[in-house]
Amino acid sequence: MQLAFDLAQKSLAKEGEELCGDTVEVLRRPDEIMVALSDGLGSGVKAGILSTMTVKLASTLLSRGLPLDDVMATINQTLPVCKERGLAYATLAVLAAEADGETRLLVNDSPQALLLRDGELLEPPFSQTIVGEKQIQQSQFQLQEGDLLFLFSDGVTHAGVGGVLELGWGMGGLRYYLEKKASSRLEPEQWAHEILDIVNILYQGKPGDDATVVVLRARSPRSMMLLSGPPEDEELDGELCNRLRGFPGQRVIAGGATGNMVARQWNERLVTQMNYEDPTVPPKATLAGAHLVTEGILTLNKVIDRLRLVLSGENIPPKEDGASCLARELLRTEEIHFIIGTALNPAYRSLQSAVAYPTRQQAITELSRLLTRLGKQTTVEWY
Amino acid sequence: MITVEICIGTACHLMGSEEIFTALEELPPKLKSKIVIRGTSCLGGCDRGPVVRINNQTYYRVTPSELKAVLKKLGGEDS
Repeated sequence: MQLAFDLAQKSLAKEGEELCGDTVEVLRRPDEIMVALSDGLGSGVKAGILSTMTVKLASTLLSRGLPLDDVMATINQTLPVCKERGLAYATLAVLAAEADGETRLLVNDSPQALLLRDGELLEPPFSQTIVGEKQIQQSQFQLQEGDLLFLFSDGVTHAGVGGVLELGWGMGGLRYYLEKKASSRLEPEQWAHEILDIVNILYQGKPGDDATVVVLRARSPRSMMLLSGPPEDEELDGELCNRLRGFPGQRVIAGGATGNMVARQWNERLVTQMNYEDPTVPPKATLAGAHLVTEGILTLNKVIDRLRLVLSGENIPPKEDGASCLARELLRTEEIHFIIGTALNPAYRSLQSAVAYPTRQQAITELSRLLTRLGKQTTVEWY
Repeated sequence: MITVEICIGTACHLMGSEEIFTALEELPPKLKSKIVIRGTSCLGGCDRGPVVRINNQTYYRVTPSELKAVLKKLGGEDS
């Protein structure tokens, strides 16, 4: 069975530091995801530079198709070692998971990765290997649908050290916590958020180290059809709405007039909500047969903002506004078919020039470009 | 009961429909209890937003103060 992957990451900077010394780099291809997590020695700017240098080097080598072992060996031979402590300046964990589930993980001085499968917490089987004169932990295993794989920096396992817990909660405490929560159906973002919340509590709100968690979920691939804008030729209304109705994957509508058109064609009722969780995003609506209905041009432009956040290594805000919901759905989908109507609402012309918003065509073109960068396959049809 | 439907379409949103919702939240509880508030998709007045429909009568370019005045009158609280 083919798999697709969702990924969430979250970091906590050491108390008093603005920058986190841990860095995560994600590389997505249609049939593979690669993740590099590095923890720079110390904290703050210096640690941030060291870890960024390490993951950038790793991701550049990975993007050029170098095998994981060679990446690790190159980094071990390239990065300097601290003379005082005799340690490498940064740790590194590199993960590569393929669409067929085949997964490899190389860990150099980072805490052990954990795997949550069917409510049971497991350790990916690992062996020690020598890569570039350094002993590395190596895992090779098969990911299955529903699996959650966790990577951590040592700021997570050390949480509480010298404070509420003499030696910190350690791997044992972390495992205990994950086992307790194993049955909860949390999204990867929620997992990352909750784990770091606990870590912060154990540090009594004053983290003694940078802490990072990466959560990877394997699931079956999904497809989406997104209809936005009525077609220029009204006679095509029925055809487009029928195509949306017959689509086997996620059916999404972005646009008030589009929602009205589909409701009319499907003979269903469009019910708008009144929730302004984000005042800059108009509320969502519901329509039987559609998985998500949002406003059009403003929401699409906010989705672009949220996807740019993801590309810069951040998560989508845990909000339920139309743009956050649509951005999350797009990230959880591998194939996206945009069906875009080009009929113009004359009233929008003056508004668009007044608020300087990109047109629907510009927004969809940019959205499609960003999604391609995120490893998605997109098609766009204009009507 | 007074039914108030507020257009949440793109143009009305840009012209301030969210402020209309906020204004309704601030109504006196007694008057508020007489009102059913609903969001609605485009009511076809995109060039004259925000558009609000009160008991099937459509109002254009509505401001929060105008809306409050209309509702107070309909709710019998016009002094």
